[in-house]
Amino acid sequence: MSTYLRAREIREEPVVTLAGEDIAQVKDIVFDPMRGTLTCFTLSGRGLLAGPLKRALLWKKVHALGPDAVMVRDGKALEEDDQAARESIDAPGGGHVIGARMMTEDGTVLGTITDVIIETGKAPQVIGYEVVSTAQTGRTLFLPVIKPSSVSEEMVVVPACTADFSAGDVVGLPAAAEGLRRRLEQET
Amino acid sequence: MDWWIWVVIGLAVLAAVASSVVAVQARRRSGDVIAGGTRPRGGRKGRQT
Amino acid sequence: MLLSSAQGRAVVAVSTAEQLGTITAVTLAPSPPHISAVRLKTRGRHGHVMAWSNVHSFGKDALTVRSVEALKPENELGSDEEAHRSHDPLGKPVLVETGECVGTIEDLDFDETDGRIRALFTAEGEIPGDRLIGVGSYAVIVQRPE
Repeated sequence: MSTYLRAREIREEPVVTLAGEDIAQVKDIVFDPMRGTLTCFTLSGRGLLAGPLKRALLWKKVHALGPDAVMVRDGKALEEDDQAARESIDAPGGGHVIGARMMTEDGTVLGTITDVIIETGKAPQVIGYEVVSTAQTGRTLFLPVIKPSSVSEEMVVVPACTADFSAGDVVGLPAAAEGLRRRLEQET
Repeated sequence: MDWWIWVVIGLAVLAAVASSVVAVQARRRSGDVIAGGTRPRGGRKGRQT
Repeated sequence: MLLSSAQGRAVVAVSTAEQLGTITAVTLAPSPPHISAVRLKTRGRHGHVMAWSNVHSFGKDALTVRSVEALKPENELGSDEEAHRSHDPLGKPVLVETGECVGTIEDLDFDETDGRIRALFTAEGEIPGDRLIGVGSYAVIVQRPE
């Protein structure tokens, strides 16, 4: 049974070992926008006075991602440093997506991205974005994204037909994604 | 002035410093949702679509 | 036996017939899920623990131990030791290994002859004891249901 998580809600989730120790908490969620897969998490310490930890948690070392915690086998799951995260974050062609614009290939701005929606399971997948519409001012839409055309610091460009498949809530996203997938298959 | 006024001022300063440290650290712990870069560094190999 | 009914029960040393204290809590360990130690309140200021292996008998009115040497002060235990208080499950959130919280531990049912955990209780319901994976300072971790 699939559940959906908002990437913004994963921030500050505790990283918990199977022995029940909260060894860190999630700082940034880094994902591959083209494949829609999670790459890694950057981490902070736990507690009021804790700051960032210079250690990354690679997706392949994660035991499970849930609504209340990121589970790992033990403390060895964390990398010794945050090198892997830095390489992914600093590489060209990405950016902080919250606040970036979503635009279609034919030049229509669909809105501003306010969240990234992830379908959980064995292999979590980014299935869409929550967008505050510019056309219908203030209205929140959920747009399925199977594969963006391109991503930069300022915007995510998606196929033109994406605008035809918006959902009013997260629950409607899978159906919208299926509709978009079929239309894209027809078009190619 | 009475000595206790200095105690109150001292405690107020301590509280202000402590709460600003806590606030700074909370900001440093806060994270973002980041699309990792997908284009190869340095070279231009075209779009990845 | 429910932990809630065992709490407050006297702990008596068989060799000297003296009451050493009363049961306050327990610590758990996995593989297989069992009570690793009993935590007690004694006349002294600090709490004490007693490994389950030192239990002589868990009776209706008292838990008997062979001798007072079985007790160890809690503040002398390292956090890596099984009897450390970080392994006390009461009041802790229960996290399924999938990362979902399913309640808080309110009570547990154990076999008083071997200390094996039969069930964990939260406000939401009962979790079979054999699903316990670990108890740490943050949470109790259980396997996902079959």
